[in-house]
Amino acid sequence: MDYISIIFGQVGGTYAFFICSNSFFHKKDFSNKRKMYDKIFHVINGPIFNNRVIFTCFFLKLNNQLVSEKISIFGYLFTTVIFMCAPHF
Amino acid sequence: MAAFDRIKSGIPGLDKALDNIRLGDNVVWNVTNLNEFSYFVNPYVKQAKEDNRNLIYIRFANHPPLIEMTEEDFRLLEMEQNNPDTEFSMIERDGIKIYYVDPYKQFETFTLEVHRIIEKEGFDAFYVFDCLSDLQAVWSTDLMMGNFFKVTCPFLFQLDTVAFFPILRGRHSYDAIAKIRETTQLFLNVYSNSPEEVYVTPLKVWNRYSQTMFLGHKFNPITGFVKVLQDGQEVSKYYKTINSDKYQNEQTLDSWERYMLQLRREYGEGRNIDEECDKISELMMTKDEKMLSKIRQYFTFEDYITIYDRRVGSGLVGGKTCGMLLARKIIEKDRPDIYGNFEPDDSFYIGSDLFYTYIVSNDLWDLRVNQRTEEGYYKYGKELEEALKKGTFSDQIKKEFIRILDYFGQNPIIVRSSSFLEDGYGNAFAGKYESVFCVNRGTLEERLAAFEEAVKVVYSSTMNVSALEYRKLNGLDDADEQMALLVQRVSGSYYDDYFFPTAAGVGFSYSPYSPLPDMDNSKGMLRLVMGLGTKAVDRTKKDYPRIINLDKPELTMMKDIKEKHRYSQHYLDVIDLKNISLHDISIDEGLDIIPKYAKKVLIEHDRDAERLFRERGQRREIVFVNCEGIVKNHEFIDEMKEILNTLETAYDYPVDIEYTVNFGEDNSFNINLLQCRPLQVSTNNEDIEMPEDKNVFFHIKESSMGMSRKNKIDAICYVDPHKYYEYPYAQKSSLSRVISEVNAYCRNNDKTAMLIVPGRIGTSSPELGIPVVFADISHFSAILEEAYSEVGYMPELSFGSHMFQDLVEAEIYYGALFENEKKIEFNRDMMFEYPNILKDINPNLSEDIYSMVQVIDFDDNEAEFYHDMNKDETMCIFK
Repeated sequence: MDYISIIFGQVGGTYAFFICSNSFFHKKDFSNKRKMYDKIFHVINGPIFNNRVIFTCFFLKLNNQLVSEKISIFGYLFTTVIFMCAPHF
Repeated sequence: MAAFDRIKSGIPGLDKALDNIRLGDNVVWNVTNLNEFSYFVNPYVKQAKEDNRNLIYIRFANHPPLIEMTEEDFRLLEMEQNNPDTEFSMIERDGIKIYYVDPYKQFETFTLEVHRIIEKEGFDAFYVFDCLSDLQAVWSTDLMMGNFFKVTCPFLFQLDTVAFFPILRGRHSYDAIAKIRETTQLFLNVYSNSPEEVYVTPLKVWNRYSQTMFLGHKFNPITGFVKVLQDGQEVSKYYKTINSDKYQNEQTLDSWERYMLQLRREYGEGRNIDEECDKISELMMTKDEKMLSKIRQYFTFEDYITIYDRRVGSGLVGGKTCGMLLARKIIEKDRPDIYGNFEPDDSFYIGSDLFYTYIVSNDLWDLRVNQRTEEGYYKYGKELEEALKKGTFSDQIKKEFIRILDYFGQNPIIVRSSSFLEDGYGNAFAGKYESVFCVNRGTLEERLAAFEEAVKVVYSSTMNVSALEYRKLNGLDDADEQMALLVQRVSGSYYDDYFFPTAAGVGFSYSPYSPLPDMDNSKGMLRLVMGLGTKAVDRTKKDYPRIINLDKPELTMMKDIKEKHRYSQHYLDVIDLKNISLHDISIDEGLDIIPKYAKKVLIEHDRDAERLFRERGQRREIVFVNCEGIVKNHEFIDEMKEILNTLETAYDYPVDIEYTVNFGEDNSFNINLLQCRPLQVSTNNEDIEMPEDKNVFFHIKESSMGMSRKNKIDAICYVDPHKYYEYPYAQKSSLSRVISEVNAYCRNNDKTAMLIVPGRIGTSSPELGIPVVFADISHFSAILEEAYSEVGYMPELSFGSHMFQDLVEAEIYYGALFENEKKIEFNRDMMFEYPNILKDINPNLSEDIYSMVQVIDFDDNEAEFYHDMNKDETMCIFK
């Protein structure tokens, strides 16, 4: 079974979401929250979510630009740990 | 970047004209040649690089690359293809990723690989795809090219990508172009007079509109200038260009149709088209190399044309259809004398592409993709099975179905599965996919609805659990399995409200069972029933088909008239025209409605019973159906022998066939060959190889019967010959009860069991062997008789005559442990290392029985049983 994780939030003045599975990691920015939610909804209903278990889904609000640049790494590490543990859940 | 954000195409004038290409757009360029496409793709690539886009080129075609590629690039890409450590064949240089995907892997595998690339590359990627028309060239059909686009385009859209697709004008049917136009966001027509004078006409620009957007635009690739054509003079020049001769070859026909049209012309002109015939056989018949070579040997261009004319949709006609057509052709060419007695074939063939089109058009593609995963194999298989039953067909396909129904009128038809993998060498898929009878009565709408339902049932059967299991077992779970269909007229006659053939059945060119030791199994065997052949194909408890061993056709193993009655057919399958259904009726009812001449060939009189009635002054006819008249018809039997023999020689392999036979008043008959395939010699269709250096329990040669098999054995029941001999004669018969109890234990606990007994099983004389009846041993999968010459026990490979029929029907293995060179090894003592569980089965038996009958249950440490019918070799090992 494949797992997929979504982390979304506000990064400085930009809204962004990250999706991460055990085979890819993607990031997408948006200029407003509505657009981001629309896209998340769009993607969750789309083919890349087929047959995958969604694991995490939460909102991060990060104003510090320095931290925001690290969010990808954070997201990746977080989901990697989740996936490693996933079979045991 | 967000969805629908404007991007730069590299041609500012074009951006203005189209109100910009947006993220999520798929842009299809309908061009005359790929040179025209280069005017647009080069600026696009340049701009994407400048904007630091994730630029990806999907290479799959044979035409020159659409972006610059060096010899080195090709070499590296080829190396990547052969690199087992990488998932994709991909190289990256100058900010462009170049992927190679092989379209020869066929539609499903190719499409899934492209999807995985798209998924890996994620959001906002910029793509250039090779020319879609090349897919059509490889898959030989517009339909599948359209299906690829239809499932890929939404995927790209979802990830906010921009993708450029070229397609060549005049190469595709209007339907295919319409499908692409309907799915894509931008569809642009391109014409050119010279490299400085290129015209672009947007035919579709999704979600954007301007007063001039859909007018022609003139583009100069050298200056990059784009101008809307509004000036009268320029407009007339534009129309002159698009109406010029070179743009007048657009056709409504599929490329495949055009190809066949051209070949017909060439053939008519007397040109040699042998090479083309090879190509047609590959594109229309099968991908099975062995079958292909036979087809090429026997089929002419005219045969292909006949098949082509009766095919609906494109793609292959499938394994079953190929087998049937090839077998008929072999007989027609090699035995024209017999072919004269054949009913002509007027079947229709529904091409395999229609199956995927049905999946794609009913939005089931995602479900199909999920089903291809390991976790989803069964789970989504079930869901897909249900969904396939509920889909709808397009009007175009319905029209084709009506053409079939119009041809058959109100004659009953059968819709049979004919999948890619079916009936090939080694993959019979026997009984795994459905066949559905259509009574074909009522108004055209009713008949069409029933026909559509039948097609859906067969389509959905690709996902039924037993088919999925069979495919997994044979390592075919990852193979493309497209379902083609064979639509056959049911052969038979109208009798009152029923419809059925005089007789039907199956035939094997090699008989796995022989009732007598000196019989020649290579002559083959027939199973024959009155009415529809379903009674001969499916095993039913209440009916017995007539088994004819072609070496001695008239030989029957029934020793008296009572057995003849019992082992005869009591019901026949018919098509009920009144109630529009398929069911069985009693033999008496069936015999009442058929004409005398047909009855004559099906029945045998019980003269003794009739005489008894006569003596009482009653004239009564006592008959039973065992197709005696047909068996005694030497001409028919000889022809069947010849058919099987001819087919086996042509196939270089034993075959099995399905057939019907209809008799006329003058005893003349017509045979209809419905199916032919390489004989499935094994029960589970695996190659049987005898294991080496194992814990051998026994190993025997040339002393067994039954299909090849490899299975586990959970339990063994062994009767000691010496102790059986010493057991009081009067009590010997009680052993059958003990065996019956062991049989019940195995049945109730679902154990695969083996029985080893002294002498001849099922004999009526206890001194020769244990006098069991079939019910006592019905659950054993293998039965062996052991020789013990000291006291005169000698196996006889005959099953004990009256059990022969039951054992053949139950596909039970039968072997003998002789005391000669045929017995290579038999380590009896190995059994006694296990505890005897007979006491657990029945604690009330005498000690003599417990010491005589050893029953072992392996629990986890099972035994394995191997039997190879071709080599006539059997082995059992303990693990």
